[in-house]
Amino acid sequence: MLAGTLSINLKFEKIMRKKKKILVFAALVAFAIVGITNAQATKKINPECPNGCVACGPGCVCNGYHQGLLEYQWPK
Amino acid sequence: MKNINILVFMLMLVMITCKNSKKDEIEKFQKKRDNIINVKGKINDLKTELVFGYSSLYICDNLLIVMEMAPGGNKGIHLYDKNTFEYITSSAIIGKGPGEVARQGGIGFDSKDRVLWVSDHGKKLIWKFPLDSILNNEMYKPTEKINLFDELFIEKYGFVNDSIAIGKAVRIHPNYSFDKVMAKLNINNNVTEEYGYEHPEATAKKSISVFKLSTENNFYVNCYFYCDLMTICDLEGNLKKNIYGPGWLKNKDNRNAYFTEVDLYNKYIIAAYLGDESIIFNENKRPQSNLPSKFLVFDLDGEYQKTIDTGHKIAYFCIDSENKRLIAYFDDRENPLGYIDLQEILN
Repeated sequence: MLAGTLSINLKFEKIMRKKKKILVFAALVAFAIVGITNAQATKKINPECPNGCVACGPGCVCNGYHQGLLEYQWPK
Repeated sequence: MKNINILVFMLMLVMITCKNSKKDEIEKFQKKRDNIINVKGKINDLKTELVFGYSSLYICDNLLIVMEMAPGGNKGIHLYDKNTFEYITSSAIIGKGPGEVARQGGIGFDSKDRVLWVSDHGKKLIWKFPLDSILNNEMYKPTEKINLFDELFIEKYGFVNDSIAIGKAVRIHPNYSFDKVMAKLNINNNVTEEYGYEHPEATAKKSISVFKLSTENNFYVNCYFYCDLMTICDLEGNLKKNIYGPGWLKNKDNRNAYFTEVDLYNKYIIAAYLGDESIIFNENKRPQSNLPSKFLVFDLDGEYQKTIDTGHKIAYFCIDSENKRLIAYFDDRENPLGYIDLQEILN
């Protein structure tokens, strides 16, 4: 009886360990995906134009060149 | 001996004076520009059946060309008779397919071959639109093109002859910032190279300027957006004049804007001028460009003549010298297109 309970406990522990490993792996994959997406997103951002362009101006680079637009700047 | 010393001293004084007077001829500071003419009630509406948003304007041949910055319809360029303002046709089909324009930029006009060169910044190329092809075929799609490269591509330009265009070129840096330099494009072999004078203070963002070429008068002019500066050079790229306005060296954080557009009329340089913060907030607290309402008029040596105050926000303009008209796209008028008769204002 005792041996049966022990073997059930051991099996449960094994399953839990596997679950933990899967969760850790999933978390790592998720972090990696988010990291890659962020890196891709920030790579294309023009540091001189973090907020995009507004109409009418001498040109703006935000994911390509836009003639006739103006780089937005934060107010003082 | 004493006499020789005095003679040498006098000679040096003459040389220094001559050098300074030559420098004074080139470098001109204009602190006051207060000869103002108000033309608010003298703007003639130009009514069209087509409705379009912000549009840059060009005079090519007998045509007024309206180029939409963000086309609402399926074509981006609209052609009007410049004399009567009658609508003729539209061209530059918007799209990503072959011969279609993805994101249109400026227009260069080769008057000798009657060709419109239309920049497409989406596809990174300049399309060749022969004027006769546009006029004869309303569904015309160009096949000839030249490629644009991020390292240096010409943006605002004029043709010196049928193969060489000069103008302001954009250089996109690896960090996605950009500056502008004077450049020369050979349309036959698609080689763009830097050339001509650059003001030492007009670097990085301050290098952004609007450009106009005059082959008749053998010069070109650059009017700067973030500097209160206008430079006039000959066609070899040599500096003729640097004209500094009252805002010169007062815009360290690049928050103010000065010149937004420039064109030529007979013996005058006409430039839209703001001299104020470049971005303002509208009634909905949304940011928008602050647009100028006045034009500064200079002679071809850069001497200030007068200020034309329109009382309305000017987004874009061009000059029809033959009909003596300044045609503008106003941001705050019911009919955005209007013109001012220049004959009355400038003799």
